[in-house]
Amino acid sequence: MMRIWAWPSVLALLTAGGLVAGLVSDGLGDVAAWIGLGIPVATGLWYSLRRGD
Amino acid sequence: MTAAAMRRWGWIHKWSSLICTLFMLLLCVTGLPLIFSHEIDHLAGDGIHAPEMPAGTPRASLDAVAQAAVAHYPGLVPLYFFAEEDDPNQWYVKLDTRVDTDESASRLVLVDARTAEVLGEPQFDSGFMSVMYRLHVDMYAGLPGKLFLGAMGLLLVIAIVSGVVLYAPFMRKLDFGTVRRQRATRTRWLDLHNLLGIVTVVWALVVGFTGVVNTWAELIFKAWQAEQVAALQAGATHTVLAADAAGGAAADGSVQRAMERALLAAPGMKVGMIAFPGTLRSTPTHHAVLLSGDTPLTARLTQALLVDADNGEVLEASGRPWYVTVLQLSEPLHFGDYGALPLKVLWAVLDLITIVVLGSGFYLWWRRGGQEAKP
Repeated sequence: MMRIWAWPSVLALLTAGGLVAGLVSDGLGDVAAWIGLGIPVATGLWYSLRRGD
Repeated sequence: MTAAAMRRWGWIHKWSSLICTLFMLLLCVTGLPLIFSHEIDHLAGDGIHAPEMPAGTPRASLDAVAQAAVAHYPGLVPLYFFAEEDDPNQWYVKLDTRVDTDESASRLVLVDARTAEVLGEPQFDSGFMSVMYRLHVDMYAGLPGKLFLGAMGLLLVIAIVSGVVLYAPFMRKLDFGTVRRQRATRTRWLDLHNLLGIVTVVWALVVGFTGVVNTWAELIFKAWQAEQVAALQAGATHTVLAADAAGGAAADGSVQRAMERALLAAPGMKVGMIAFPGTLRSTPTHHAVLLSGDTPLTARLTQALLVDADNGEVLEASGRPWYVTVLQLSEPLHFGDYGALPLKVLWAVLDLITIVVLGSGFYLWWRRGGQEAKP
């Protein structure tokens, strides 16, 4: 169970945190939003596009 | 998960997705340019610009602005003033045949706030972006179209939740991020569908659900108006500035004075919109002035003040019920317009990933059958 949900939970929390941070603060909050949304996007693209397995 | 539970969730996931997929693809495709509508308008250069004037040039009265708009469209009456987001020297004035129409045939004029001269008619209802907008918002079918797309959005939410439930059994024997490239095409797409679906799940839920809330905007404003009128009738209001308060010029029935009195009652706030009495956003006997603050959150969560058209009393009647708060937060969370260009780019990438998730989901159903890769 842990193994299945560990990474999805981290990415979900990052996304949620990013979405809210951008809304409550400009400047730093925007940067937090880019990071919070950027990491899940990068993760998805990395695993979809990499060669091998 | 038992086999029976899995079949049940699989059934829910299959049908909720199949029904909404075509519409979600339409929304993803039309939504993509809409993310950048601000930038596209600027690039296209079809914006209307007010002439340069020295800073601090005095502003014309709102009543003169309204008169100019009416002179431009004789026979119509003004409904609302909207502040132009980028240029405080411009007012949008919305007009229609009556104050209480459904505004489907309303007109917009852009007026110079300093000279009260009509600058032009913004063409929001023609061109490529307007087609994208209408297809995205109501498919040219008005309120029923909006509510239909909202229902499709609710199905999407169900599809996402059931997809999350199914993620665990499908991933039981696989590490996070596994894409079995050596296996059959369908297996590869199943893995990609699960991977891309799970990494975007929170974003898709938020954008999906806030989109649904946005389809209810008109109903929410109607409910709010009814609540304000009821509060007025019951005397359950909160006076912010008494009719005879010292320091403010007395009411004279003009909309300019109504705005001044609202600003006096709420110093430091910025006017976002002013509604004439009788419109959807006001009451029959009050001007409504929508004010916003200067923090990211208070810029979204507006304060609505009512100004008595006769005596100038400024009051709050059911200032901002929870469902209006939800709506006002749903706008930025759906549009992705609150974190500068990088956030918009991320929004676009997430939108494209969602298209892949939708397309692969459809493909998995199309190529269903007794192949491998059952969990």
